[in-house]
Amino acid sequence: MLKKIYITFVFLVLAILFISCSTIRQINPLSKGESSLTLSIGGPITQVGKTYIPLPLLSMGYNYGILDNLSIESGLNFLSAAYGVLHLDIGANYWLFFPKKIIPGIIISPQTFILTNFTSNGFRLYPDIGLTTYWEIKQNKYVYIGIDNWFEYHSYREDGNIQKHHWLITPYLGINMGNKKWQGQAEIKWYVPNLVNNTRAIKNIGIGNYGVVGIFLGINRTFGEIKK
Amino acid sequence: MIKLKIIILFYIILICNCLNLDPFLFKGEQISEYFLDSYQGKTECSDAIDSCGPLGIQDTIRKFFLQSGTEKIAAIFLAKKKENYSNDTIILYFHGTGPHIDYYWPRTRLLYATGYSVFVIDYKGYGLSTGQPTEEGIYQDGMNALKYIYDSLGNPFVVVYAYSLGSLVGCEVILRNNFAKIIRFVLEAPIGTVESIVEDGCFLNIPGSYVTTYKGKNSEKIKTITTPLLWIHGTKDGTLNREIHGLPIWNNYHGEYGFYIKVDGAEHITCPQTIGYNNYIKCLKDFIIANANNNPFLIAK
Repeated sequence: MLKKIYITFVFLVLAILFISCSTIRQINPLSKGESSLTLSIGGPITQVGKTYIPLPLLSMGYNYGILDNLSIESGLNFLSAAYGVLHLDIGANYWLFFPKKIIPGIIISPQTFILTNFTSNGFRLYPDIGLTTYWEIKQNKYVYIGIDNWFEYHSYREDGNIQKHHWLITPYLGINMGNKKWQGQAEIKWYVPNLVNNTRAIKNIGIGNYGVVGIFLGINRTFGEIKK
Repeated sequence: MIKLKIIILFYIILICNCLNLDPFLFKGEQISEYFLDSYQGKTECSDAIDSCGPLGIQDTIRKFFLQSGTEKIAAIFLAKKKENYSNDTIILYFHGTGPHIDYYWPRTRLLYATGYSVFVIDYKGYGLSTGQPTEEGIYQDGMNALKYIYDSLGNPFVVVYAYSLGSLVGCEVILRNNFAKIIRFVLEAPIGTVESIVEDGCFLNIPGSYVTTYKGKNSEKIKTITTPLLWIHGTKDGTLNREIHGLPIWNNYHGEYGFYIKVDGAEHITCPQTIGYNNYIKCLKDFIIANANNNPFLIAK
């Protein structure tokens, strides 16, 4: 009983505050002046009762093309907002290479996550850098793999314990398909694959005893003068 | 389009800050009566009652209510029949976040097997108690239980036994007490701070205030507590991890008479049975009568 209550508590903490809380927002590059809106839902797969479900992290993002190979983006996590936590991200996507046949395209995505509940010690800022490689398997159909890197720079936690993990990695694999205006995404993430998961009360699905697997679905609508 | 944006913004503001996770920390279940020994639902240490044997004719179970703020909280006093308890030692038991006293009754019986009377309460919103639990509310419940022991049971010696999230109440009661004779403090699988639960959950240094109004900083409060302490914690506690929650409390305790039991292989709720009920009872007795140095399970600070 106690464990059940505790698990529910941690379940919701995860749902509200978990790292890397959306699909990658833009695989196909935006041209200069184009913009897109993305909606993403999903999260770490967690045991609820007798079944496993992905947590319902819901976020919305906006992307804007600055150059043909550079876009800026920002996002908002809705579930955090319901708990009075402003959970924003701002960042950019830089297409280092575009894909050519079997040679993948490469996207570098530096981001900053900002969280605050507007109290004196409630402000947090987390730098993050993502590296994605992707292949265009057909027109407007892509597969991608990548790795997200969150950095926790505090030496100590609020509870006085040492913050042991400063580099939190999340590899991911996904597909992105649709047409020029609408794109859908399905993505699987493996959160913190370097950390053992079987000492936690909450039952997440990992691989072996490591990390937490998450599933996300996303939808993306492009606006503006669509050139590609 | 502008209208739509305003409406969306309005709803975002409306839903902001309307939720927190407090109800998931202390989540009682209200019932219509206590069944105690004959309770058929799920309990912790469920075989403890068989191990302790039936209560005798010299034993008494008093069920009554205490006033706590504007609410009434249920209390049960398990003791030998007596007129006066003023020279006795009574164990005041603060249970965890489980639903009600029935769920913890086998544990209560185990404590009674030490030979000391046991006083247990249900917090507001638990069992037969009215109201809803809040952090200040459960502290108030704890203080009212202690006050009852002081006023109505003849100011006996008190051992505060706080288990799991009940350790929030135990630490606070010891800090606030300036009238009762609290001679021992036992913490079983205590919580260090509520913040630790949040931080363990998301791997990051996230303030607990993001999701809960509970503070419950036991690892800080213990710094000013000098009451003799026994800390019991399982090495496989995956609910309130021993190193994250218990150890900071232990390290910050500066009293002179401190002992711990590191229960190898025990999970959050299984310390008594992992040590063995007889050993568990003997440990408690030795700690209470200051014979801890002669018990191999008890390791001194």
